Amino acid sequence: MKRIFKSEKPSFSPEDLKKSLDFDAMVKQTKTIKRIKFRKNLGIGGILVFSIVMLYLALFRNDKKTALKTETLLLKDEMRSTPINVYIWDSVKISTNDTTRIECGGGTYMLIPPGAFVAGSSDSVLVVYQFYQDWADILLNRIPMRYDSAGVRYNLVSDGMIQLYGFNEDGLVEINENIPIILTVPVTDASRGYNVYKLDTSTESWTYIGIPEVIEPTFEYGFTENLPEVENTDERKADIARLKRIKLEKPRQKNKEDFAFRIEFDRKDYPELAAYDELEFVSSDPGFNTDQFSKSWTDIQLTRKRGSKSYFVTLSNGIDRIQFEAQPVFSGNDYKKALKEFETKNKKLQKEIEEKLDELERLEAQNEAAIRARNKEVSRNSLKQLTAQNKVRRFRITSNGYWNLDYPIPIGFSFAKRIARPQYVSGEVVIQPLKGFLIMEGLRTYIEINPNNSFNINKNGSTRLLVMTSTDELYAVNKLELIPEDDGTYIFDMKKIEMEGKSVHEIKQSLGVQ
Amino acid sequence: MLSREAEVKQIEEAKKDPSKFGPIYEAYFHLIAGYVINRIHDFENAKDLIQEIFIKAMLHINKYQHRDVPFKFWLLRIARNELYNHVKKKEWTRVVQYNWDLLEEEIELENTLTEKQTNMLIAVLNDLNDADLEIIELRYFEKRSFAEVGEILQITENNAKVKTYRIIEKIKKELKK
Repeated sequence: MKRIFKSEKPSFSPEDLKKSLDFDAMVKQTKTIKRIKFRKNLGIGGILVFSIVMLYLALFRNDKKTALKTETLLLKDEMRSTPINVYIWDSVKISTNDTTRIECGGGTYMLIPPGAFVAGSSDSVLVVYQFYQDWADILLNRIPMRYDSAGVRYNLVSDGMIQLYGFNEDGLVEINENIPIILTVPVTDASRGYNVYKLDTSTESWTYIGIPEVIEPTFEYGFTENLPEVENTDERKADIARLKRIKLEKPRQKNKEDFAFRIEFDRKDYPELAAYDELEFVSSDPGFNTDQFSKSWTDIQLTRKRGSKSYFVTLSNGIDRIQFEAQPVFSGNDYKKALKEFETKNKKLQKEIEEKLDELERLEAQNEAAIRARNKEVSRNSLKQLTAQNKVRRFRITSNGYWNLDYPIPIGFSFAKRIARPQYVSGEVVIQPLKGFLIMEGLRTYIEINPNNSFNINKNGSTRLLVMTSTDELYAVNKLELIPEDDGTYIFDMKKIEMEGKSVHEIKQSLGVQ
Repeated sequence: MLSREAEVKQIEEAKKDPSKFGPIYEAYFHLIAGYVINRIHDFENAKDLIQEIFIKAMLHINKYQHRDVPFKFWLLRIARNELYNHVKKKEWTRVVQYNWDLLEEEIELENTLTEKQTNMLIAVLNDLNDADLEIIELRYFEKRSFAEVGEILQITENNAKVKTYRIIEKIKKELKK
């Protein structure tokens, strides 16, 4: 890296730069990059992989509409006719040799063990996934929710759905059935009997896989009961600061110009000066005057000045008393001796600081690791709390594709009445419901519209309904005001939700979904 | 500047639609541009870099979580990564824009630096590795707090302090030679 040190600022300012930059162009470029991001993530051979993926998805979706919407890579094909912006997929490149934990939000996480993907010699796999967190995502992504069991048709609900694929340079990689990916999902209601389903994309119906494991509060995930300690380093820091404040003064060598004088003192009282035979003192104190040496003094006292290498010299003779500050000066061998002593002491001090800093750095790193571990533990503990309430389910993902966790509701509730049918204007169908989502008395279910274009609903309940029509239009009604028909059925007015050019987020906002 | 509440709202909107990033761009442009032009003195390169930083921010804003780090530091971390990537890949010249005020005080120089001492100090700084020099730059030339230095470098405030003192000791030792 070439470095230049300069004290001058550049000739241009942030304002100059701002004038020359075009934010709209950046946004445009961001959208373009998003389009190619997936290819980029795959690295070498990315374009080839991308083509394989597209082909695979086109076949796998068993849908004639293979054209992809540019900004919504891997988007399910049944969305093609509605130009809305859906989420960009999440992708994580993982090492095939390590266990990877991927957080999907809301406490849901995937554990991908080593060897989960049949990735050949690749040491990494790109995991591309979407976790569907609410009903609007599922509805707007047009995920079919039909479930047939022994000739009985059901609508599935969802309390957690994932769509996941693994890729390497050679394209889609399968999941090893014997080393499955584990998905852990906190659910909303512990009393429900949850099931796991896998979407058969060729028939667009779900297949029952089994019952998820209820995570009992045994905390086999290695919850640490004893959180790592974070050691308080304040005292150590104060100690280092104290040592750093110590300023050892270099001994002063006597100059020819110095007015130096000797003082007789008891060497036992001043061990720091005892070793020097030729010790003299000099003074730069304004109170010091060389004339004072022409007077006779009967008493001379030497006292240390606190926190320094200076001394106070006090001279008195019964009449006068003067005091001035003086510093020892060394000459000849004394200087060499004093210098050596200073260097040894200084080295010792620096070494002590260095060792304490080393120890502090080690402790800080240890503390950082402990804080990270603690934070992780806090997040695990919230999951642990849900686990204690039996709200956590876990199941194995043994193949790529869509996996759903929840239970089926039979089409035709016993308490429901038929109320909906196509709406006509001048003999033409203007609303032909195809799929819907119903929020009803706390229940959430997807509506499979019956062949006669009607569906069942509890007209007396607190009901909210969303309907996706056969022409990719979205209609919603927040409060059903049912209008009775002569044939005993009911109709109601629905509001069309404009989707064109909007993101899923905006659509969800207009529906009042957070 | 955006209020904290407005910022959170704007970030959430930008996560869904990059064109909603506009107010964030306006609020943080000077912060990022300031960081860049302290290090890159070529107008075109600085412009490219700023553009890349904001594009990267828009691309990755989905991954930003309010609880992890204040948004300005999240942006500065992107700026730092992009700076090093560009300088390395494109062999740009990296400027260290110095200002001795704080450093003089820290290394306990009694008087203002003479030209000779300045050259010596530059030589000592130039011998520091990138990571150490960056700490000096953030702390003494850009006069950032230890907390800020820590946030940008993704280390704790205390670790930033310890590292800084180590580097200062190193500089002092080198200057004494």
